Amino acid sequence: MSEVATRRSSGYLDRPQSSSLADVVNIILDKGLVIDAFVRVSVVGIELITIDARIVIASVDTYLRFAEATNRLDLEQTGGRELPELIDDLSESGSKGKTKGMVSGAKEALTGGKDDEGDDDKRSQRSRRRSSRQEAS
Amino acid sequence: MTVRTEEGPAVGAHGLYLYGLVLGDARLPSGLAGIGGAPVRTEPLGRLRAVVSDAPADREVGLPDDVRDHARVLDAVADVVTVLPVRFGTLATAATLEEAVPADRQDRHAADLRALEGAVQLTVSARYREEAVMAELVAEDDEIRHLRERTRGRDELATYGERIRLGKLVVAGFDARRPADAQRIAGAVAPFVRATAAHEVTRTSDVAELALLVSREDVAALEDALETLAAQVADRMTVRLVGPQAAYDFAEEV
Repeated sequence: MSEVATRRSSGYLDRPQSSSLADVVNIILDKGLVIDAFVRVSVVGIELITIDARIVIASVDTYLRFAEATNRLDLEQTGGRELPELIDDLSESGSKGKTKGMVSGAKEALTGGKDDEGDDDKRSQRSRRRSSRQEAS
Repeated sequence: MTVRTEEGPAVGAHGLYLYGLVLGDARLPSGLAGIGGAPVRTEPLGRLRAVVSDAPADREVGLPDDVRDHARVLDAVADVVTVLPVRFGTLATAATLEEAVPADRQDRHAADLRALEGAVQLTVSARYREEAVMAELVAEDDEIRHLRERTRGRDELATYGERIRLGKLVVAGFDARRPADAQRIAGAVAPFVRATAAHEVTRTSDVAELALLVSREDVAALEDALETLAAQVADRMTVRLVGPQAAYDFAEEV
């Protein structure tokens, strides 16, 4: 895109140079002018993705996940230190795991939680395309 | 999921894939390739022009790559000229184009295009660093701290009810923090946006997702403001900014 988009690549703001499939699906798929008289095609393999990505998560599974995550927090290690310091430590030590968590979270949303779909967009795209071909034939 | 086969509507060589609408005097970037690699061009549409490419003759449109191509074309067009994005998956023929967008609607779209003149969309999203917020909750909420002590390292079945209660309180803690944190994001971008459309957030760790309509000359200032904000909140949130893009969220209003 433009130079503006890539002007700042360092720093705290996450500024992706090209949109991921998740971004594209999330930002554009149900947006834009609807022209009624036109044929709309279905999106092979995408409809399910968006449904998954938009499920409002408020379930027992979510509660158990957060209970487990809260229990996993290693607060004792930090002894009697002040909270801000503690949070710094946590987010620093947690940042690597966090990145992984976000990536797998996005993948989960894109693949309906199946971990064996492949790690990158291209792989999961290929498999999706393959499966849509199979369905179409 | 609908998968159409050869029996589906015949699009064929006469089909046009429609990306968006531009004003009649607008010029597209040259050499732009659309869905299936077909060259992107414009077709006259009364006082407007439709940004189109020939639809693939041998297959339906709807692969993930097609969604990406749709966005890529619109973003490239939006980079140089104001465009009203049409929803993904819209097909027409040269003959049906004028029928589908009658003159009175052309007038409205032309007015919308003029209202969007000089603006692009950027989408900012913020997510909590879950560990940081959970640490806050453990420190601040007696019941959470108590339940954590009661369930930690204990048999999962025996403490099932307490775990559910703990998880509920933690999720409620995220929910309670969200409005003020979302407001902080909205406040930081407010001086630089012409309009904002808030997307519904769906995950516990989501803070906010805002589509922003921004004048081109304000994009750099918006980025600076968000960079500053992202640094300030880095201990408990990640902030992400996508764009500039076509004004997807503002195509039907403004």
